[in-house]
Amino acid sequence: MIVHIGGGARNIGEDLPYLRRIIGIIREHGGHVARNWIEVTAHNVQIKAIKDSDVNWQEIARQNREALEISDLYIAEVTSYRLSAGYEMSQAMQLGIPVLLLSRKPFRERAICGIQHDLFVMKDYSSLDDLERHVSEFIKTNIAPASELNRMIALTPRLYAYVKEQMQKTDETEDDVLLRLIQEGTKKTA
Amino acid sequence: MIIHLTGSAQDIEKDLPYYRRIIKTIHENDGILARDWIETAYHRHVKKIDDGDVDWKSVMDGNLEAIGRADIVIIEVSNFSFSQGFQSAVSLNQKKPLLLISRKPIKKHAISGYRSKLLTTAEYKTEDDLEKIVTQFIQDNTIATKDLRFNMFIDRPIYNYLRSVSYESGKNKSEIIRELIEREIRKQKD
Repeated sequence: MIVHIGGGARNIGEDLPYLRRIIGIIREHGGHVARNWIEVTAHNVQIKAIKDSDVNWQEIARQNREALEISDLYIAEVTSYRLSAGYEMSQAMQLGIPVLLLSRKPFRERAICGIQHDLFVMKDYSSLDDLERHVSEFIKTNIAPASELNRMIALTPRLYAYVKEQMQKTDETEDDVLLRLIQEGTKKTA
Repeated sequence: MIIHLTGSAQDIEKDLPYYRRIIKTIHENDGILARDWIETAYHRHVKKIDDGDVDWKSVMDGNLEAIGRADIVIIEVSNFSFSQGFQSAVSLNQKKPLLLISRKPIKKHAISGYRSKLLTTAEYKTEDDLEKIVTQFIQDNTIATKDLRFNMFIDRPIYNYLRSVSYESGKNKSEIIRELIEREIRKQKD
């Protein structure tokens, strides 16, 4: 399981314990972080290493996009409700990735609570325990255990012939053909 | 031309003159608003209606629907808020030319790292600046009606196909060609 964590550098001092806890919970569930920006950012902000206007934002946007593209889940700490988090959340949803937004300020006063989608969950929290519960629940709801990911499929003769034809045309394995067809099908229904 | 103008209502009193100037500029350039929300948001502020009592789902649905209908999108992002980021990404995903304008320096924010042929970012200090930027953006994205018509040469097989489909369906040849192109666009989106 790969998770991309969203958040902002602006309030990294306040958010740091919560972001660290999110990473901890992901690892406890056997997952990895797609891009670990948090400690470097916290360090740079603390020592005032670089001004905001000198940050290579284009490179950061590229890295974040790449992180999303390899991720199974997107979890963002959005207490400061920054523009970049909204942008990334929309990108995650366009990629069909389940999204969890977490905030220490109530969502109900924000336009964000008008967004409703099967892929999207938002949770207020006021303590690390709350945070842990929300993140764990989100991971368990959206990630199937490895044993569930290995399926036996019974094909009809006609479907079997089609898969064999595709294997010859594209040089893919049977598994690759079936995965491709399912992925194409999910894109059409998204 | 249909133009979706959006932004934050958090500082509506401060932003109001700029929103009104953008709307005036849109009308002077023969544009119409996809969604007219600004005076309603200001009225809410005057009446001191709590943000927690706003029907944010209607607001967000209205914004997303307006993006869908619009030819171009303009977002005032001086507050750099979550909803503006979300709508920015939705607009670009729907291939809408997008203008992000701000009274605060954009290069200090992650937004300055986003790259797209459809995206224009600009800073302004005065209402006159704002009018110039918006006017230029509208003009850059206006396609003269004459540019929507052109002659094309077809070969005999295509001619026979169009004639046959036109006879069977009762549609004229231009309609059939447009439908074929629209089908191709939908396939590419999928």
